[in-house]
Amino acid sequence: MPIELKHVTYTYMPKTPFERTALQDASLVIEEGSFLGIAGHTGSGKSTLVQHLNGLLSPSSGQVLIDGVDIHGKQTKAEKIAAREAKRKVGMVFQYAEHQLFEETVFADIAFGPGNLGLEEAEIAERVKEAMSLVGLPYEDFKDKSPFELSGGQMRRVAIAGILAMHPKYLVLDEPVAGLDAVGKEKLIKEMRQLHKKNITMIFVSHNMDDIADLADQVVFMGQGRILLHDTPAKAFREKDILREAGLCPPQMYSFLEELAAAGLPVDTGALTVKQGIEHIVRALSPKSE
Amino acid sequence: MAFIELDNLSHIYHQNQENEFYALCHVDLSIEEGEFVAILGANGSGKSTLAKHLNALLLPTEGHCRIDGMDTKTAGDVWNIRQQVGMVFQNPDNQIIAAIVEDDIAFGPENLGVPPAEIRRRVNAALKTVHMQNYRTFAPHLLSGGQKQRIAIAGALAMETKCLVLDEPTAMLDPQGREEVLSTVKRLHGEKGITIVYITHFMEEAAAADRIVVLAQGHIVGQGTPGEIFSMTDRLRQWHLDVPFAAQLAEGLRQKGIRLPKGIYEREELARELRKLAPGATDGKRNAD
Ligand SMILES: Nc1ncnc2c1ncn2[C@@H]1O[C@H](COP(=O)(O)OP(=O)(O)OP(=O)(O)O)[C@@H](O)[C@H]1O
Ligand SMILES: Nc1ncnc2c1ncn2[C@@H]1O[C@H](COP(=O)(O)OP(=O)(O)OP(=O)(O)O)[C@@H](O)[C@H]1O
Ligand SMILES: [Mg+2]
Ligand SMILES: [Mg+2]
Repeated sequence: MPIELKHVTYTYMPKTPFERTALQDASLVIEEGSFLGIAGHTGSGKSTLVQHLNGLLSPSSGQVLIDGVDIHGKQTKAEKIAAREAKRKVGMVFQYAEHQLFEETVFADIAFGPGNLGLEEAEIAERVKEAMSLVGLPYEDFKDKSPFELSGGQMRRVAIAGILAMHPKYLVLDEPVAGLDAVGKEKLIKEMRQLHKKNITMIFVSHNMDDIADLADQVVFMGQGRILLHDTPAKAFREKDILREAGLCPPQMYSFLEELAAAGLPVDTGALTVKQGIEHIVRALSPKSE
Repeated sequence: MAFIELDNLSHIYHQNQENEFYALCHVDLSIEEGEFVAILGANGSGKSTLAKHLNALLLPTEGHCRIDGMDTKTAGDVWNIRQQVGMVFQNPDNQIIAAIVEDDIAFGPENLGVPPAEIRRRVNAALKTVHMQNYRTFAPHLLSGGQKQRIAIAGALAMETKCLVLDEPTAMLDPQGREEVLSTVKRLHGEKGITIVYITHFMEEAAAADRIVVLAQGHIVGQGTPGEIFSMTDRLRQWHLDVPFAAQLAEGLRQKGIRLPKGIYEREELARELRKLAPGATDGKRNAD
């Protein structure tokens, strides 16, 4: 079953001078098993949108359904319990994930979520170890450190590990690779791919179109609080007008091939990743390629 | 004497305790006035620790850090040092203090004793530079991630210091915003001769610097022009750094037998070289579908 947004509008601080409608009539179906990338310029409403997916924000109007359960509707006690269960299926890594940290040691911080699920000590420890290795934090070196005395990228990794350790069914990551070094990024991207293979529905926000092209099978472009487009990457990056409206650029490979073609090199455009692009260029350069 | 001088500088967190940690080890580094230096390195390599020495937020455990000849350990000079070195922190929330955007940006210059009319001018100019004029009376904690980052940058710009240290200023920005910040930095450097120390994980941004310094585990392990650094793709990987798009693509093409010169790291250059190799490069275009 999917996560569904139905005509969701969200206004921050209504009836104050700071009132701002950050999400405007957004409707979206995120199918189970999909890998959704969300992009849009600064302030376009991406974080506001994803915070609806686990009920952190409740729509000013409209509905959010997780596996068919309306997570905010007027509810009986049984429905409230169902709503809470539904929200728990969604793990969320915030944009400045380092602000999620609060425990005294890295271990305790990552163990907090699984602890709340009522798991046994041994199982919790197992999950902490597993999650730390997934984000590339050597267990012995980091378990006893204070999460507040780490570098920016290390803090980010701890925060992500804390969510992974809860084994969510839907995983939402808001700018997860921002501030990670190349190895950290590569590890996390590989991990996101693996989690997806294990049937976790992945939803991530990113300014990096290369990552979106690389990972996502669905993309959403946002602009001024609206969903401007929801499609496959291959189709989405062809929508030049929408890209421009959203203030986005296509993946580097895509625009590079277009530049080459415009400069007279007879190359097939349309590749989204470096790997595909290499093939296109090799074909264009080999003497009798037809 | 160079404008910034790190002289055998080491920084140890929790010195003489069980969890003692060497974040910087015997670092020697000189940065001339008017230079634009990018600092690269893996997570935890010591970049932010180094940056915080440049305006005396951290003091060396061993060795010295001198700014315009003033030692950061001389308590009486800290004020003068901070008037010369502006800082954009890695996490904007650590920097934003006031409840209203314009007050936040005015805070630094006010502390420097800048007259009110001049403060107003600077706040306006800084907000304009980061395209946040419409948010002047907003509460900073109600802004989106990228908007906060812009406010933090505006705050540092309004100080109009001789030197700017920027610690991952674009991590949360969209491509357009990143481009704007980088071109602002280039302009400050080019037109006003401001000394720039720029920490980033984006190689395309580091390519704008005069010089790149690479840190690994608290040591300086590499230095050179962007061309020198980016042509060492194997080293880049060892240092946990990204390989720039054009260098990555050129490498992949070479592996497929395409003969490209060494050391390509810019798109324009790669495009030029590829056009040279095309069979009849000028016979018009052919597009997919
Ligand atoms: N707590 C809040 N109160 C009032 N307005 C807010 C609040 N949070 C966000 N906003 C405003 O809502 C709009 C959308 O913000 P949101 O954080 O969803 O953007 P975003 O697309 O995630 O941007 P970024 O790429 O910079 O993270 C912005 O204009 C922002 O200023
Ligand atoms: N307050 C602190 N106490 C103890 N150790 C610290 C403290 N701050 C940082 N460290 C450690 O010092 C090392 C260098 O940290 P620093 O923040 O300088 O790294 P960085 O290069 O800026 O990394 P990043 O790219 O993740 O921001 C890291 O291993 C970190 O864990
Ligand atoms: Mg956001
Ligand atoms: Mg840092």
